[in-house]
Amino acid sequence: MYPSRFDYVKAASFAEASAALLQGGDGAKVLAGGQTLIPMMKLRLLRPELIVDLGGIDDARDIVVDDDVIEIGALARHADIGNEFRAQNLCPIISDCALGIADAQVRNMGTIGGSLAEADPCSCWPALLVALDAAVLIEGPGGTRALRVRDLLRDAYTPDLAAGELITRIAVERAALDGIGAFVAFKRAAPAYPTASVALQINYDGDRIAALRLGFGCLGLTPLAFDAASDMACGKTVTPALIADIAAAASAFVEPIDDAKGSETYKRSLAAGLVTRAFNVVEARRTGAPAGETHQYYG
Amino acid sequence: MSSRRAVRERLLGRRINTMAETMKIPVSITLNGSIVRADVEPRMLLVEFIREVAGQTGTHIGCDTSYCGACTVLVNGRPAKSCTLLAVQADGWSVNTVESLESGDTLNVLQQCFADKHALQCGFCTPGFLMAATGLLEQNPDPDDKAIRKGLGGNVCRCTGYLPIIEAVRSAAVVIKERRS
Ligand SMILES: Cc1cc2nc3c(=O)[nH]c(=O)nc-3n(C[C@H](O)[C@H](O)[C@H](O)COP(=O)(O)OP(=O)(O)OC[C@H]3O[C@@H](n4cnc5c(N)ncnc54)[C@H](O)[C@@H]3O)c2cc1C
Ligand code: FES
Ligand code: FES
Repeated sequence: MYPSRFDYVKAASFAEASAALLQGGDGAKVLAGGQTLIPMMKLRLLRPELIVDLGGIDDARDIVVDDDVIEIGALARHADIGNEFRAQNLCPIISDCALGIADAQVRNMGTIGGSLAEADPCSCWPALLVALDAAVLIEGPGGTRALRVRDLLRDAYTPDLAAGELITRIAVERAALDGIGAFVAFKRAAPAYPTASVALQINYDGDRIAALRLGFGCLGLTPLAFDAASDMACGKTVTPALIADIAAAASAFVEPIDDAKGSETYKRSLAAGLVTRAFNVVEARRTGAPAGETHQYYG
Repeated sequence: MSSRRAVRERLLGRRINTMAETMKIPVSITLNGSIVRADVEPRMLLVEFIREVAGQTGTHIGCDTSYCGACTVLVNGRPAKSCTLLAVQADGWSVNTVESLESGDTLNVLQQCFADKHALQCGFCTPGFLMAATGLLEQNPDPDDKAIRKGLGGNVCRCTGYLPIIEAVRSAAVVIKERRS
C-alpha cells in the first residue's frame, strides 16, 4: 500500500522544520518516528502534500535527569527512554509506560513527541504525563513557549499547537515522581493500543500516603487525571478497603465510550480492576515482594 | 491550480507546469553491508526499496498495516517494521535483512535452531521472526521465556502456535553462549 504522492524535506533543526511547515501551509505535516503517521497515510486517511522529516535533528533525543526535573527530547524513542530508566533503576512508572507501548519494533522508532502531538486518547505517554502534570516546550514562529500537557491535550487528536509549532522537549518535575509508581494497561495484543491504562504514583510518609497521582488512558476523549483521589488517600495507609474505595471512585470518574474494545460498563469495571492492580504493583515494589505483570494481554 | 502544485512551486521557487513529474530524492542505504543508491519517490516504503530496488526478497510483506512483523529488518542494529518506514527516512542508515544471517550455504545458529525445533511451517513469518529474535538476542543474550515472548510480541505466526519459535530462540541463546565461553 502506497501513500498518495507528497514532497519531502529533511529538516536539520526545529527552526528549519517550523519554517518549512509554515511554507507548506495546510498540506504540510511533520514526520517523527512515523509509527502513526505512515500507517494513516498508507490507509489514505491522511494525504499530506509535504512531509517535513524531523529525523535529521540529532540533538533532540537526549534524556537529562537532574535533581529537580527530568527532561526528555521530543525525538527520544520509546525504547531508549524505557531502557535508560530501567538501566538506572529509576522511576519504574516511566519504564513501565515506555516499554509497554506497542512492540519492540514500534518502540524502536516511535517518539515521545509524536505520541503527544498525535493526542490519541489511547496513547500511553499522554496518560502518564497528564497524571504527573508534566509540561512540554513548544517552538514555533512566535518563539518558544511552555505548556502543561493537560492544556496541550484538551481534545482528542487535536493538540493545542498553532501552525508551524513543534513540541521540542518534555519536562517532568522530580517532585511529581517522589515515592513509587506503576503504569499498568490491559491490551488485546502487543501491537495494539491498550483497552485502558492507569498511571499511579504514590509518595509515602512512613507507611502513610503523603500524595497520590492517578491518571487514565483510553477511558475518555482525553487522558484523565483524577486529582481528587489524592484527597481520598492522604494520611491513610494502603489497605484493601482504601484500594476498593479509590477503585470504585475511579470507575465512576472515568468517561469511557462504547466501542469495539468493549462497552462503557465493561470499561468502568476494567478501570476499577486496573486501579487495584496498580496499587498491588506499587505495594509490591515498596515492600520488595515480587510485583505482578504491569501489562496484560488477552484475545 | 491544485494546492499540491502551489506548495511545490513555493518550495522549488519556480513555476512547474506538469503534475506528471514526481519529486525524486536520492537515497543511499547500507543494505547488508553494501551501499545501495537510488533516486526514489518520497512515498516509497523501505520494504519496497529492499524488495523492488535492491531485489532482496527475503523480507516479506504480510499485513502491510504495521501489525504482523513479517517485514521486520534491523535498522542500525534494532528491529523495525520496514512497511512502516519510508525509504527516504532510511537515507544514510544501515539496514540488515534475513539475507545477512547465513554465510554461503550455511545457516547461522538462530536459523539452524528454527529448523531443528520446527519453528516454521509455511515460513512466511520466518524472516521477520528471525530478525526480531536477532535484535532481541543482541540486546539480551540470556532471555527467559517471558523476555522472549515480549521481544517477539510484534510478530504473528499463523502456523506454529509459537511454542516451537520460543524454544528455538531459547536454544539459540544457549548455543551462542556456549560458543562465546
Ligand atoms: C502497531 C502499533 C501499535 C501501537 N501501540 C501503541 C500503544 O500501545 N501505546 C501507545 O501509546 N502508542 C502506540 N502506538 C503509537 C506509537 O507509539 C507511535 O510511535 C506514536 O504514537 C507516534 O510517534 P511517532 O514518533 O511515530 O510520530 P509520527 O507518526 O511521526 O507522528 C504522529 C503525529 O504527530 C505529529 N508530530 C510528530 N512529532 C511532532 C513534534 N515533535 N511536534 C509536533 N508534532 C509532531 C505528526 O505530524 C503526526 O501528526 C502504536 C503504533 C503502532 C504502529
Ligand atoms: S507487513 Fe509490516 S508489519 Fe505486517
Ligand atoms: S510458519 Fe506460517 S505463519 Fe509462521
